[in-house]
Amino acid sequence: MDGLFHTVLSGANVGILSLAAAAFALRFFLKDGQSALARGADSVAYASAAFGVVLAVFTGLTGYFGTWHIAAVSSSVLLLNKIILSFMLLGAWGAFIFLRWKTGPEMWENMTLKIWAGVLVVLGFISSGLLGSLGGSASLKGTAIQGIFAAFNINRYNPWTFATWFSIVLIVLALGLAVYSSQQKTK
Amino acid sequence: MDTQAADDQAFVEGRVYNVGFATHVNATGARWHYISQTKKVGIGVAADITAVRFNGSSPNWDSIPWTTLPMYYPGQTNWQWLTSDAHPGAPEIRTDKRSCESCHGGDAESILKLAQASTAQELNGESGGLNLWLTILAGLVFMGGGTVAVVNFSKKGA
Repeated sequence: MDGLFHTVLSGANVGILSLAAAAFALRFFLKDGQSALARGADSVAYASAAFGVVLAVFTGLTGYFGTWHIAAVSSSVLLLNKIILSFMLLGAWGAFIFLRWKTGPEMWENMTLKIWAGVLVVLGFISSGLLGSLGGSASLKGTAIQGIFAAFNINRYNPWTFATWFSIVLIVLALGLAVYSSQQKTK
Repeated sequence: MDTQAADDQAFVEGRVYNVGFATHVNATGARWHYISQTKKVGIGVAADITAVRFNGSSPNWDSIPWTTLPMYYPGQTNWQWLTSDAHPGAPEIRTDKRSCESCHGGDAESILKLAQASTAQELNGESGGLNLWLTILAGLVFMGGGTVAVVNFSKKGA
C-alpha cells in the first residue's frame, strides 16, 4: 500500500461528505418537510454522512499506516495537526448521524436540533476541507485554500492544540451538560 | 562554494568543513523545515563526506559512493527539559560529557528519537503527550456531550 491509495480514498471521502453537506443545506432551508425534494435531501444527507464516516475511518488508517513511515507521522507537526482534524471530522459527522438516528425526521421540525445539526455539519465540512488541504501540503503540492490560512494568519506548521485548561473546561462543561440534561429528562 | 556572491564561503581544497543541510518543502520558511545533523565535508580529504575532483562535464555517479542523511523536523525544547530526569541523556549533559550528536547522530533511529521527543515537547509543553490527546478528547466530548444534551432537552421540551 502506498500514498496513492490514501489519496484516492481521501478524494472519495471529501466528495461524499460534500454531498452530505450540500443535501443537508438544501433540506435545512426547505420549509415543506413532506415534499419529495425534502425527503430526498434528508435521505441523501443521512446516508452520505454514514457512508462518509465509514470511508473516513479507512482513509485515516491508510493515511496513518500506509502513506508515511510511522515515525515521520509522529515527528511532523503538520501531520499531527492532520490527526487532530481527522478525529474532529469523525466526531462531528458521527454526532450528526447519532442525532439524526436518535431523533428521526423530527430533527428537521425542532429548531434547536436543526441548528445543532447545522453546527456539526459545518464543523465536519470544514474539517474535511482542511484535511484535504493539509494533505496537499504534506504531499508537496499547493492547497486551494492557502489564501484562507494566510488571511486568518493560521500557520499549518504550528500545533493546533488547545491550551490544557481550555480542553479541561470544554470536557467538564460538555459532560456536565450531558449529565444534567439526562437528569432533567427523567424528571 | 564560490559563486562570486558577497556572502559566499569558498571551499578550499585540502580542508574539512562542518556543514548542515536543510530541506525546505511545502514552501516553508523560517524554522519550519527539515534539517540534518552536522557533518564534516572534506574537500579532497577524508571526512564524513568526501568531495572528489573529476574531469569532464559531469562526474561518473555510479563510481561515487552515496551518503544518506536522515532529515528531521527540529521541534523545540528547553534546557530545563534536556537536563531533567525525563531526558535519558541528562546526566551526561549536566556534567558536560556529551553533546546531542553523541547520542542522536549515529543512525536514523536515534535521530528520530530526537525529532519525536522535541516535537512532542513543542506540541505539549511540559505535559508529555497530554495536550494532543486532550485536544482530541475535548473536541469529541464537546460534540458528543453537546448532542446528547440537545437531544435530551428537546425531548423534555416536546
